[in-house]
Amino acid sequence: MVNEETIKEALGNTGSDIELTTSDFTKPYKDIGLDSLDVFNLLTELELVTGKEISDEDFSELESLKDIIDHLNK
Amino acid sequence: MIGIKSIASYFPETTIDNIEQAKKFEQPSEFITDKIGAVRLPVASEEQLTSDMAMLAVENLLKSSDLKREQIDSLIVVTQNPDNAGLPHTSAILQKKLELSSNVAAFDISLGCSGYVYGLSILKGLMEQAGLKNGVLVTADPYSKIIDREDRVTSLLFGDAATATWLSSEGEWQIGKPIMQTDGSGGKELCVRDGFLHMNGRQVFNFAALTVPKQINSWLGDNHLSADDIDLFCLHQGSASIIDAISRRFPSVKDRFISDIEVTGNTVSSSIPLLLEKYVIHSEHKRVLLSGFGVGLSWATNMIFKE
Repeated sequence: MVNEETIKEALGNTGSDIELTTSDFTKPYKDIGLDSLDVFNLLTELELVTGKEISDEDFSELESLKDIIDHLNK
Repeated sequence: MIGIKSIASYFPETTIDNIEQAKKFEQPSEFITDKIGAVRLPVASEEQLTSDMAMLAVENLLKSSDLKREQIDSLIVVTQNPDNAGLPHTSAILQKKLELSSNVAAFDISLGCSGYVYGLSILKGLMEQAGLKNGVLVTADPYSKIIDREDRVTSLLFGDAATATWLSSEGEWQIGKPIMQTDGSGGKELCVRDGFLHMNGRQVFNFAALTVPKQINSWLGDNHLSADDIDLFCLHQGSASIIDAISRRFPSVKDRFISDIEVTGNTVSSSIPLLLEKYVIHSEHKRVLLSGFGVGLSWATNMIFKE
């Protein structure tokens, strides 16, 4: 089960110092200071934890951290 | 035993200010300095051919080492941007431009970022089998010729360079036994379409971050070594972020992974020999691990070492 803590831990593992609040999870990546490489890094960490790959088609529809959580919990 | 004796390189004089270029794509300077890592990108001139860059790298090798032109008996060019679409092969054009003897085995290798690791083993194997004494492994892959400057993903990343590595029976750096792997199903993630380079940044990043550490660990296991036994890790410099993502998988030796792309950009098959020239060839290190990964998808790991 992926949750906000999973995301925070994975993001921390990438070396990011962004401190996420609950409201950040529904915002677009850019609005919380995540660039494209930050997101790639995060998804790599999450793949290591969950073993789940995200297709390009699905990735194009994931616009926030909440979208990622919901997708990985499907 | 055939080993590496010397390395030289060549960079085009013209460079692109990558921070300025990033403004066109509304990317902040921090994205360039902290994530891509390359603030300047060397770019070959329009009229400069791959063989021209290769020639200048070999000329620099001849100037900086004891190698004599007439001693060269084998010549390999690693490139996927050959002169005249590869016909004739760039290494033959180079043999002419360098005015080398006709007693030279010369051929090209069509590989990208894994090409240097492959090339070392191919040239070493050829020289040992054929009894050759002085081989030169050239890398020259000017991606600027296939980059769409309006494409954010590729135009901020790649730089042009060429290198020349002298392999000799008197080479101090011995070449280990490589692991080489290929996954053609990923070929579409990094390829040329309609004359321009296309890169699926997420898939390439994911491939590098997850697959390369596995291969490095396999290589270490096969050779009964641990990461702590390696003095320096010279990986293909895909981007600063990729090097960081791979090195995180080796926390005890993370600081032994070189990240140096600031004034070169991603120079494809030249990135590893550029590191060896700068950090290794005259160093006191004993064991240096090399890993190249990219187009193909293709990835290869080996170690160079000295007694």
